[in-house]
Amino acid sequence: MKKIRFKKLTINWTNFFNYIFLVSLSSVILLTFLIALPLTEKLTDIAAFDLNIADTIWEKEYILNIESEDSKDIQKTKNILFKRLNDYGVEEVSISEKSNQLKITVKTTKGETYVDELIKNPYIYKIVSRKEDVDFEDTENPYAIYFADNYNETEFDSTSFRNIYITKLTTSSGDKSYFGIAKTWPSTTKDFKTFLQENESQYLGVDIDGFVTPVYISDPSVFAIPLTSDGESLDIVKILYNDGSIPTSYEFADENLLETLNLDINYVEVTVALFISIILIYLYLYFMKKYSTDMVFRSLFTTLFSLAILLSSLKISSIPIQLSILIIDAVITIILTNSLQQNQESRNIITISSFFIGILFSILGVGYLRILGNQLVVISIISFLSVTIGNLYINKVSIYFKK
Amino acid sequence: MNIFINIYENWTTYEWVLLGGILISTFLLTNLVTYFFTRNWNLNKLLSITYGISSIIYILLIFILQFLVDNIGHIFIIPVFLIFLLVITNWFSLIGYYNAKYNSKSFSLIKLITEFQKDSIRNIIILTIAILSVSIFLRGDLLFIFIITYLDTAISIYLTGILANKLIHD
Repeated sequence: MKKIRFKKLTINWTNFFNYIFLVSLSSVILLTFLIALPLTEKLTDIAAFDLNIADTIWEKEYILNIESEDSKDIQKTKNILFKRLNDYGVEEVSISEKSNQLKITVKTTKGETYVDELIKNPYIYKIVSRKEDVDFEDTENPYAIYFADNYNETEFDSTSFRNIYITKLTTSSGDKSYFGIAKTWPSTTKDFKTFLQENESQYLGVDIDGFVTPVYISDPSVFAIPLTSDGESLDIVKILYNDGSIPTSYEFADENLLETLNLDINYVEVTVALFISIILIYLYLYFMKKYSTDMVFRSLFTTLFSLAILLSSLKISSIPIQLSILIIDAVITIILTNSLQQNQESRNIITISSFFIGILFSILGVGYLRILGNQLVVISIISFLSVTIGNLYINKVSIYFKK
Repeated sequence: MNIFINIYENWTTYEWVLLGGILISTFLLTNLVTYFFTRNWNLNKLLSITYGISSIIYILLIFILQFLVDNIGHIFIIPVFLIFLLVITNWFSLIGYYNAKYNSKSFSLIKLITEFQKDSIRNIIILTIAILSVSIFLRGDLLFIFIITYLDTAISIYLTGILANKLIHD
């Protein structure tokens, strides 16, 4: 019987792995484009990757009557109110004063209830102790524990604390719940510690704008304020406690919802327009002969790729974004990627500088500047990655085509 | 001058401090990076003049805008961010080129400026087409934001290219 002999198979492993890498990279790039394209989320029910467009913009003005007539107090109140709204992410805030009245105008996509809470409550808080002659156990008056009149003032108020650190702790029943831990200034630490030791195993309270939250002192080394909030409302509590103490009380007088013009375009139109505009840019550059054909092709590919990564990441992460911000982001992405692609020797310095500008604006920016700063940090990374990966991919593919 | 009086009266100290912090930090950092890479004060002068030109054009455009728009809100601060970013991106293409070619025998400041001017014109063309193509779909405040950004950036970048000829010599 004749033996069948096979020729010894020799595999070039470098080529093999290069091939596998190229196939995988092609799949990832194709997938990125598919996710980025509008309405492709409707093709499958397996994963949800809709673009999360931020709610419509609303505009409202609030009138507050300040109790003090001291200009320093009014200025400080304005600063703290602005800081609160800015930290929550309200896009546009304008505060004007007329004698002892403040008019605050906000224009935002953020939750109206939370914005109301940040503006309407001065959130002036102080530590109080129980009056001895009040019966807090009286079943006919169950709200006695909440009224500030039933408590004695102490020497400790919001100015005694550096901040209120919000964390999850175990309650007496064994469940986990949020608490605000009062962190004192070095000058008040000793006095506050003594005060807590004197009140060990007793109830104290935190009086916020006339309503008291009871706090049981089981461990005198820590003053933990129980919080009932969670999610976004917890962020609001954090802002209210930590964005400075308003020096004077105020009264909410009036509010008016104003008419706002919302941008009447949908994201499908925007996405298509952006992809078409990129193709138009490079068609123009191709016919003007400003760049070599290879450079135009590479720039076109990397720019489309970076826009696709940006849109895909927004869709997958489901981060809410305003359409107007999306358009600005897209223009930044187009220009930055093009700049990185065409200035090879400046690639690192442009990426690093745009990254740091993004960080600077996200830390120091107000309203839209902060939002754009945050976006720029992501866009500079996306642009750099798309240029690096895009060029690598084109180089690898062109090798296979030349073979 | 109404718009500037309104800004002066309605802005909180907190806003002034933050915006001032951004402008001063960006100005100092970009100048520091420029000097670190080039050791040429003339380039720092040119960068500072570019910022000056951008600021003056921005103020002028906002002044004109108050006659075209009913209410100039905080949204019109967005061009400050975009102008900074675009001017700095264009500027650092010069610094990157300087840093990469400085030690080569064929390097000269005249060549650097010629290359920078070519890059600037290309960047203006890209900016023109990018903004024109998206602006077709826009109206209202957002359209004006892009117009301000475009005019300011394009004029600043173009004038920087011209001024580079006068300020920088071999």
